[in-house]
Amino acid sequence: MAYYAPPIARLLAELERLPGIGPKSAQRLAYHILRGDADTAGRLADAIVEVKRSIHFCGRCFNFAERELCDICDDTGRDASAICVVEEPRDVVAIERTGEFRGYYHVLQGAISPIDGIGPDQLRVRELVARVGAGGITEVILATDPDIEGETTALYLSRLLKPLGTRVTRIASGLPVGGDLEYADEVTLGRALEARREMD
Amino acid sequence: MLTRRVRALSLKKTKLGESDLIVTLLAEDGCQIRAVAKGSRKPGSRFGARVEPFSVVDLLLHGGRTLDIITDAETAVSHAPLRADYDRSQAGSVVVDFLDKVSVECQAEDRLFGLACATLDAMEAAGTGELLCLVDAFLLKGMAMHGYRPQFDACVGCGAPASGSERFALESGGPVCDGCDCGEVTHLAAPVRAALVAMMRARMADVADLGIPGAVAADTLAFLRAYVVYHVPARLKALALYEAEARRDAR
Repeated sequence: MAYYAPPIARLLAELERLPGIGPKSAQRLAYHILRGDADTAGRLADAIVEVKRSIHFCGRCFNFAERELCDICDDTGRDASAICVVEEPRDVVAIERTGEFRGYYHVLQGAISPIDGIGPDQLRVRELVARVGAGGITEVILATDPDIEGETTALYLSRLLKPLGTRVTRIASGLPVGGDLEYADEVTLGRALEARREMD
Repeated sequence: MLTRRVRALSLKKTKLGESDLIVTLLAEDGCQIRAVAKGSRKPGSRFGARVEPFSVVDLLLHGGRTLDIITDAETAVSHAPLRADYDRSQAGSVVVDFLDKVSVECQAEDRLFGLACATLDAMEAAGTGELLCLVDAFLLKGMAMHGYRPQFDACVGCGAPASGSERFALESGGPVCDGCDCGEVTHLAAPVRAALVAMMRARMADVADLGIPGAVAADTLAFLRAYVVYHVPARLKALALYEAEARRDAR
């Protein structure tokens, strides 16, 4: 016996395909949509269709963009001598929120992960080398995640970019602001000590 | 729910939900463990860095409904130099990928853990040019512990001396004389055979001192990859990538 009417079952099946959504969460979301009015459901459906139709990757940095170039690449007021390399478009948002970086970005669309079969050829590495090779860039900041995949990617890029004569830097790893030193793990604390700086 | 302490080598991390990880580990007794590290992707996590692949950790595990939950982690050996060098990281990835595919939950093989730790320790100390030999030796010994120890003296079909044969039967794991047909065969050149015999006899810490030339080590890897792929029913993606890079470097 089917527990749900076919349209509900189809909605549940589609929702369950989303990351982090299990059967219970899918059921909760489906019931919320069913309880709401038709306009709300229509707006959600339109937004999903619209985002898939209008958003693609920026032709220069591979961030999400509505036009040929994303808003950041389109902004001529930014510092053209620095590129910050990140793994995913959401990392651009995280760095932009800090307000500390005024250069441009390059989104790799992932990180090197041998165990998952992801090598440099599956990432936007060639495009990054071409951007740096074209000249005018004095610093490349490697802001990949501080995990094994991110570190491996940073090591690979550093080896590739340094011969081009550009300064290659890595974002620092260390203690989270507001945290207790005694709870820090050895690796993080070791890195924090390694990257210590003189007080102004 | 039971709480237990285990020493384990971290093999792999899989993202779970917003900020959790499923960590695949090889316990000291050789059993595979999959456990959830809650909140370990957040910057303030107590054990995010401790369960990075290649780390040997002392864990406190709390039995969950389907997977154990990591409630405490202390680093025993971090193997940090492997993560700080691209070539070492790639070689180490072959080790953890192989262990991820051959180890099984509740199926003890305590020599695997010792082999893995000895290999990672040797990779930390070895020069870049010696990593390929260490990967070869690990795969050879790992396959032997997995129940597929190759032999190189007698024909696997008739038992006649075949130490000069360059035909190696993948299924039976040994050389084949000209008169026998033992299924799928691969080419086993004399220098590769000599390297394999030397590696099988050597301890992991001594493999780098065997002085195996780079070209022979690359051919040995190609042979071992064929042997591993034939017997291990899973895709070893790290090994495929590593062999492609080794071949590119050799060219």
